[in-house]
Amino acid sequence: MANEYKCSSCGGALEFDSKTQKLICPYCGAVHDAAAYDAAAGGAAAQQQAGGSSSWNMQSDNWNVGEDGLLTYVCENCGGEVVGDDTLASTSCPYCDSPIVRASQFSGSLRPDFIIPFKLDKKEAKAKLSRFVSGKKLVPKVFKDQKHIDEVKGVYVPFWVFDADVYGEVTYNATREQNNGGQIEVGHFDVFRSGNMSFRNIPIDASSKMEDDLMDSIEPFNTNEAVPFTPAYLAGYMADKYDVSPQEGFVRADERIKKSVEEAMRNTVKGFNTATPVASNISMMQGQAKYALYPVWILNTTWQGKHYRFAMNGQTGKFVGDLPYDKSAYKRQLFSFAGIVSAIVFGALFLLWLI
Amino acid sequence: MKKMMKIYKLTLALLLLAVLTLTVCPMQLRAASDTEIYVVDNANLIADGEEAALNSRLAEISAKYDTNVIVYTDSSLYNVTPQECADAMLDSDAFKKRGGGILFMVNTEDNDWAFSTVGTGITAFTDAGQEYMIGKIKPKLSDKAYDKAFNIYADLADDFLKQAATGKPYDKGNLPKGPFQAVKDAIIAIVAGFLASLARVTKLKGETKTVKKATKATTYLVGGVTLAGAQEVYRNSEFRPVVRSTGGGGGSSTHVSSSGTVHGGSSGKF
Repeated sequence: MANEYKCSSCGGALEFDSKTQKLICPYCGAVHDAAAYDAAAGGAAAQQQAGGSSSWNMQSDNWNVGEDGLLTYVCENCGGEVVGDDTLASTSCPYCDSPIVRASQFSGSLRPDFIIPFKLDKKEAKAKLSRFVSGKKLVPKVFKDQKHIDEVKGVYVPFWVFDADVYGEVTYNATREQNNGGQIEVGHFDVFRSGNMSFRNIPIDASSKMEDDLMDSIEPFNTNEAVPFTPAYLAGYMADKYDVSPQEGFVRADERIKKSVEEAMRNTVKGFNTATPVASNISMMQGQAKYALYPVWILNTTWQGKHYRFAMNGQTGKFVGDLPYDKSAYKRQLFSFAGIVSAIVFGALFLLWLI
Repeated sequence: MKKMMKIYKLTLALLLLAVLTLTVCPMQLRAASDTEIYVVDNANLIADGEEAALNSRLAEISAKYDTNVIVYTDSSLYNVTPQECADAMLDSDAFKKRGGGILFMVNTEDNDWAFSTVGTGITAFTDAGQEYMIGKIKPKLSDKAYDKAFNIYADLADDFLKQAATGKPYDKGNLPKGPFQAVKDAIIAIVAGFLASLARVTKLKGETKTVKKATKATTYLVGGVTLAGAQEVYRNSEFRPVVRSTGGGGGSSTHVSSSGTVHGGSSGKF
């Protein structure tokens, strides 16, 4: 089943508005509550949500499988053909821009536990990119002036969100130095610490299409603003269902948890000059994975044949992305600043000699 | 008969003094024979003409500041230390005419140098001052350019005595400044400038990279650590000496020579 969110007043394609957190018709301005819209639709979308179908039936949601494995869908609004892969969950028609949501991708066990709706729009994402590059001295001027951005996409990225209660034991070899009658006494100690810690809402990227480091870099998301999932929030945005299993996600979460436990334990060892961990045992007492969709603006651009991808947290506005640097600007900055500092140092040395 | 006894006793006393002095520093008596001599070049390190000019120069400085500025060289110390030899030479009657002074000794047998100061020389030539002086003289000694070395010594002694006359002798933190070393300072400035600039552009380059894999989950730790156990068991101790800072005050350290006179001084190798 594919939902096309149409305005009940004029039939125009509705889009989720990040400012008002409502579905808005860009044609007549009608406003609809997202959750209420899905509930009132009462049709296929709602049935899919309530139906508890745990498997994704490609035949039943009007998407056809092509010979090359790609899925095609005929837009109900204009008849245009929409193409996607098997993780596609929300997109828009490339001809009429009508939002298309595959509700079946989020039904039953595939249904996210919660969603953080977009708080910032495309305009803010573009402005953020401009501000992001403007202060960087080594970024090529042409790149800064380049107004063309290949693509700006608002994407709901699937995340596994882990909660974990952890028990840890760490033993350290520690030393303490004190001045003892004209000599330094170095005392050696065995230091043992054990304790409990609770981690909540650790997000792990569940889409193989997104680079893990890019998604890590836009953390954190504020889960206090999360709401129960309803497909209407996806209208006007891209979305994929997860293709990284919770077990795979847990491996990354576990690594991060262990490092944090070791660091937190080390912070409790005070009054020593050195403390080197020699043994540690960290065990998960209780763990839980939740499935969530987080809002991310993805901006793509190409410069000198190389592709650059930036990401902005669609909730907090945190903007990241590796920028190109101009080698000639690097040399210019290096030598001009070196010349200035050298002149100042030489002048200072001369003044010191005069005094 | 009485007169004969007197001559006999005097001869005996002189012989005894000569033997005692020779055991400390063999050539002392040779210098003591002429009070106008300020250069005793027993090792023959400089030509006669150079020696005469240097002697004249040291005599002039000594007279100007009512002190003794002496150069003494030898090719053997006969089992006494350079410092003991320099002290004994300065203690000899020949240099007691004026109130204090400085003696610079060079022994070519073991490439020794030594300063000995006495009286007002202790104040004028502090430990830091002597270190500064030998720093300027030593390269010439190493090159065996002895005349140049002794003339540098004369110039420095003149400058140090002039400074001491102002009541603020050269000492730690108040040493004479040499000529402005433009090339050396330019190299220092260029290296410092380049390093500072390199640190800056490295930081600027780092600003272009904002994508980083998360390795911790500390942001998501709720309520910190609830400690269940904490134990610290003492195993053993080891001791090591305290390394003391060498940056003490200035002034002159002193010692007492074999004749009972208080001296300042320093010695070393070139």
